[in-house]
Amino acid sequence: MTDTTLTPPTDKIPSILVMEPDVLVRMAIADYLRECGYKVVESSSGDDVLTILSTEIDIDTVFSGAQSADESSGFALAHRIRIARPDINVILTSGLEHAAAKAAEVCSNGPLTKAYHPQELLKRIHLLRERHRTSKLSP
Amino acid sequence: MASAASNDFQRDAHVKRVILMVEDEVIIRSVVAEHLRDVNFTVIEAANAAEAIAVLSSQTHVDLVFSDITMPGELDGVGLARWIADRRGEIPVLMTSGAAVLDWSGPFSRLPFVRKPYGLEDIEERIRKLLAQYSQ
Repeated sequence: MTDTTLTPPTDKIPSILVMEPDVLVRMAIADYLRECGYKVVESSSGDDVLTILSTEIDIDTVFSGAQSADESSGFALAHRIRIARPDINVILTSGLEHAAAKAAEVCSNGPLTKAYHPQELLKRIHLLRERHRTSKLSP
Repeated sequence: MASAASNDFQRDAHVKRVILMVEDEVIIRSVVAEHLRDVNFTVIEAANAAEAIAVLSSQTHVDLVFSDITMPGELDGVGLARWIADRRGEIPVLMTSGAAVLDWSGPFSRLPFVRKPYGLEDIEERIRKLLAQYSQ
């Protein structure tokens, strides 16, 4: 069960590890969550998530897409985290719209007022992708 | 509040300088990026050259690229520096590597370079100096 209601201690900035293989999506979601007051660590693969969790870097929540850049799925990753680190909340997302909606839920419980509507987050991601796609097509 | 999806969207470009950090070692990248954010930079994280090119191609505002040289993928840091020189020549590039023997020759060997391991304050200072140099 995903819990997006984060109630961190008041003296600590809650931290979220965002795992997303698409850099443009990851950048936009990480930015969004930072604007909500979270400390955000970024990861492009499930392996990197496990590497980070094996260190002393403080993580309260893992926010992960269902697909990972490496062989592991987000579901398998979530399962491993729940066994190894049951203290960490795992939020699995599937698709852009779901990710934006989940980010908005997390944000609404964050330390700061949410920066902008999740639809704006989606627009931002689509805009970045379109610019990247157009750039690749141009000579 | 400005619309985040504005066509002219730039990541806090008027407030903070934007560093694109390209590093495949996630621990190094996370720790350095966090320090640079703490000292008021905006940091975009890329895990390899392809991700860095995706960011630069998306017209996201970037003031400086700080890149590892030895990275997996089709392009290493030198390949990325070549791509930037061809397409985004206005952006300063600071290179880094911890390789004991670095086969780094040609015109790109003149790029600013810092050897790993580096101190957090050291890298912050190098970045500030380079940005100041390019602002003149």
